Amino acid sequence: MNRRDMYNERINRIKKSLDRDSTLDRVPVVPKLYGWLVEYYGYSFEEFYQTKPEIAAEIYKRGFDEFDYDGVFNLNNVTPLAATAELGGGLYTLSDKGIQASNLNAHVMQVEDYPEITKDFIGFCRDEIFPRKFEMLSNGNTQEAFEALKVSYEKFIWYMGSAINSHKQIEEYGCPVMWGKGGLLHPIDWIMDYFRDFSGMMGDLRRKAEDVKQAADSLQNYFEQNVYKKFQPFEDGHGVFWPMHIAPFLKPKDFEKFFYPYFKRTLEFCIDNKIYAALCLEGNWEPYYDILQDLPDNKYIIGSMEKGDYKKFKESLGKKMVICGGIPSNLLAFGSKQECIDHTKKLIDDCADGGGFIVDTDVSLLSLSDAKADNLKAVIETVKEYGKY
Amino acid sequence: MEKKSEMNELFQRFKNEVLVDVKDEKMKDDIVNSFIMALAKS
Repeated sequence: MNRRDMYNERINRIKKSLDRDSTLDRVPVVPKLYGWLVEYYGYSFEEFYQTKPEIAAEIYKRGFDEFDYDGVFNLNNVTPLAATAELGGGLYTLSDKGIQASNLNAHVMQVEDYPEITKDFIGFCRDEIFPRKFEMLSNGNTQEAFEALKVSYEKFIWYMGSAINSHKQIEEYGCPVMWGKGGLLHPIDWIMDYFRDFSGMMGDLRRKAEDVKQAADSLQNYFEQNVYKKFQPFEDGHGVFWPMHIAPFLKPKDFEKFFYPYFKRTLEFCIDNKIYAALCLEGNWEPYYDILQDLPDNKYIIGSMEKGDYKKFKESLGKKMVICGGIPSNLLAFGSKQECIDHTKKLIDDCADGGGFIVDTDVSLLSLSDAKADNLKAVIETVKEYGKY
Repeated sequence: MEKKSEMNELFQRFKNEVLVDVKDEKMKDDIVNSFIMALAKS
């Protein structure tokens, strides 16, 4: 089979699953392998994320040959560490566990700053956040700052260009890269992840709720008018990615009050514009299943939940989103091969009926310790055999 | 207030000197804003 036919076979399988098409041959498997592949093929995180981003094409092609998955969730090579390093700061650091956010660098905004975000989001980032976050920009408009900004931009273009080129090469090799055509952003997560940190945001929701909501409204408008409007619909199932963070820490009434309005508005935008959106639902979203019944039935939303009972997930939300995931990284890392096979069979029994189901890891595999290769192979082989319709 | 103005000037200079080959003003603004967002979340 040539590369084009391999690609078509796989993406058609994934698309049929998204469509709940009754002619689907078997359950697709589309894992989030990320840093795991980097280490498995002998590279360092520094090479992948900072100095040799072009290795993404090599490791994903080798992974495709060795593991024969139907596609990959996305490549996770969108953090331009080389660009922020030039400015002497940045949110992310590299460790032996992969790329990680530093809590210290996520607290760069004070509670009294909320009105400034509401007034001018981009201006706030540029004028208030950058001098606090990036050492090279802390002294204002100096020649040194200009040179650093210029080199940072060159590194940014170089890194993102490499990511786009890798994506293209991997797809030409026959492996669909499904949901990396852009990123959705929840405004409360944005403020928490990048400006206020977890503890700051949780306190703000209690003490400054109206300020948070006004800032979130402003961000949501900015994202819709300046980011989402550039998204293109892809009829073959490709789409965008949405990681979500704060939701599982909210009581259902706070989820409904603070999180759900922007969540629903964004998903309705995607559905209306025929944009496939893959959600990484961190934690366990079972406490919100009643609230989520309000979402329209659709085929454009793909939900990958980190924890919880997947049978219940499919039964409760299977018409609201394509169910994607179900393979715990703990099982891949510490379980036996037989336990992985048994778990995969049960997962297929629980979720495959009627389509709208894709096997995936429950979380992103960030380092080699997150899975044994033989267990990953056992899961994929089991899906191919046991997941036939 | 002074620092705010300086950062704005810095990014204006970036826009005018680094994006010199981009002729369309709106496209220049889009590139600068996208770069600012990328740095803000990185």
